[in-house]
Amino acid sequence: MAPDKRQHSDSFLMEARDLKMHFPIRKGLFSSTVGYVYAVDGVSFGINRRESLGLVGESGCGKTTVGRCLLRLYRPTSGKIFFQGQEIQDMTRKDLLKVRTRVQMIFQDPYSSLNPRMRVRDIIGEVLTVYKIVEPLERKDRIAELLQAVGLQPDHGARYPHEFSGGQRQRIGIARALAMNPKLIIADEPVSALDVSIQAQVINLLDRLKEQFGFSFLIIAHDMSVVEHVADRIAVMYLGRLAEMASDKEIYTDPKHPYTRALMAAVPIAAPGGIERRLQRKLLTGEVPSPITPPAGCRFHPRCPRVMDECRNRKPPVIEVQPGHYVHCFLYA
Amino acid sequence: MSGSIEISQELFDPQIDETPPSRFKRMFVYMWRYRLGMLGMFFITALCITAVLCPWIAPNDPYEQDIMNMLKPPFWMDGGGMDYPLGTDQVGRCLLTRIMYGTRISLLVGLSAVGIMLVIGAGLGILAGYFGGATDSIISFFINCMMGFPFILLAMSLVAVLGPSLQNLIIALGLTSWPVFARVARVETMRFKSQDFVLAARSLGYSPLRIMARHILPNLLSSLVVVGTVAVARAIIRESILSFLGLGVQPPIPSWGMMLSEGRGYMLMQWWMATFPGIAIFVSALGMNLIGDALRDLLDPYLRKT
Repeated sequence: MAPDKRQHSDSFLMEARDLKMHFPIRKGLFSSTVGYVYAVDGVSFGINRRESLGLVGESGCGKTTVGRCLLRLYRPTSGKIFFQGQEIQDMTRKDLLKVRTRVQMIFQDPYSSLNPRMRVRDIIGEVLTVYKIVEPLERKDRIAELLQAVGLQPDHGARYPHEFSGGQRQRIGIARALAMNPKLIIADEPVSALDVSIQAQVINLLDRLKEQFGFSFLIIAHDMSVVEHVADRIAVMYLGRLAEMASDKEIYTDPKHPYTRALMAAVPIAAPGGIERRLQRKLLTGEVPSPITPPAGCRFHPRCPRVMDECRNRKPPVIEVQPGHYVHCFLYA
Repeated sequence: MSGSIEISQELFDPQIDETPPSRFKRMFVYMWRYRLGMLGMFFITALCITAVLCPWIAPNDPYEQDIMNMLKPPFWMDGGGMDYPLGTDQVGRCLLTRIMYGTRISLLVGLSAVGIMLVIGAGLGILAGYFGGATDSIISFFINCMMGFPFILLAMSLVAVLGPSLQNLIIALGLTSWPVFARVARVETMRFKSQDFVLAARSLGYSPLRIMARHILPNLLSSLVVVGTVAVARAIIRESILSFLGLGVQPPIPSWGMMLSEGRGYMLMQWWMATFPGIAIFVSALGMNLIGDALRDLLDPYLRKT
């Protein structure tokens, strides 16, 4: 799917514009603010209808915070969030209801994301009852339908979450997210807590459901190989800012940003000569700087192999190297 | 060694799931697993039955004084008799009968006081834990004030204002002992609040009230029940303390605490007057604690099988 070049808010299903989320650090007797965690610091991107966007970055780069801001689980410090052309960043809880039933989340940890005291059918079906989507009689059928869609048996509904394995629990979480027929599903590291053998199953399931239910998809991951299968477009994040955004193919064949290149180098290559090819690439050294005291200028400059003087004190511009391929880097200015 | 053989049989026997044990056997296994809880259940059930049936099963009238037979020892001692199986008190009232009637007071006080504590304590605790921030600071300060205040003084002043009666005793106990519930509820709420299922509920747009009542409260129940059973035991003891001090149930209504207080002066010679009400308090408190222990296991879905 070709990324939309236009930047109008109504062309995207959901759009973040210069989104910032700074968490105050409070200390001492009077909890005075001594600093901020710059978790997200000026991120802009959009998700098209029926598109899946992968958001990739190292842990601690703010990808989860972006996802939670889009759902308004956090109220962003500044910036704008549009959903179907409507600004949602300052909405009250009541106004948000319409958004929240349309945007759903899949969580990373399938063990803490399901209420241990609720039966599976109530976990999935509660939302139907709360918003009176279905008649009580239809509710059972709808739950059975959802369970089957995610590859579980209808009679699993009577059980409690602890009776299921990690992969099955994640499927229950997916069924809950699907219950309202959402327009957008935000999956926060949906498979990183699962065994490798189960990961592929769940990824394939998500891919299939996306076609079947026709939702847009924001998949957050730290692992390039996870998003590779699902995402149409990939946005790479580094320390609260975007580094690069392009279609799936271009990121893989022609990464521009030095950080993206380093990330690609970390992906194992399953091909003859893969190891040698990988060794030729430059792997990153050093640690991610703290988001409390982020580096000035380009966030990546302390670790960048091609750092220049400007990178140290000026924020890099956004450059469209090819239609729909955006790089935040001075190298292409 | 025999254990390992059993396990290997289970592993290789494909029939194991198709022939479930009979209902009776399952029940027995269940009861055996919670045998101490069953013992507690037995104590408390016996107390409840006594409380309900005492007009019919008690040997005497609890208020009838028999001056000729005052301070009689229990039946197995010299001078005792089956007329008064556990002896009589200083005005010749049947001790067994009064203990049986005292069950009513103790259970009533214990359960209703804990009911009040549960509503106030769990309510405030969940509010503090869920909303955090200023709400939490205010409620926590209130909890700490309540905990720092001497119970006897507070209960005494409450009873002094309201006047000593059974109903006011329950109110006084309920209003003074809820901080434990609030603390447990607050800490547990904070623990569950950070879990993803609460985040999921929020992302579905549920109201805070719904999240607190439907998603957090059920997860607190097992802890609250454990605290609650211990609190029933403690309320029974505190009822005795207040009655002992003359602030609770007024004579001649039979209350274990008051009987203890009456027996105090006769401890050395007529030991039964204080001992038997004491045993009654002990048994009921122990029973509640055993039930609490078993319930904690039973209510935990991770441990529940069958």
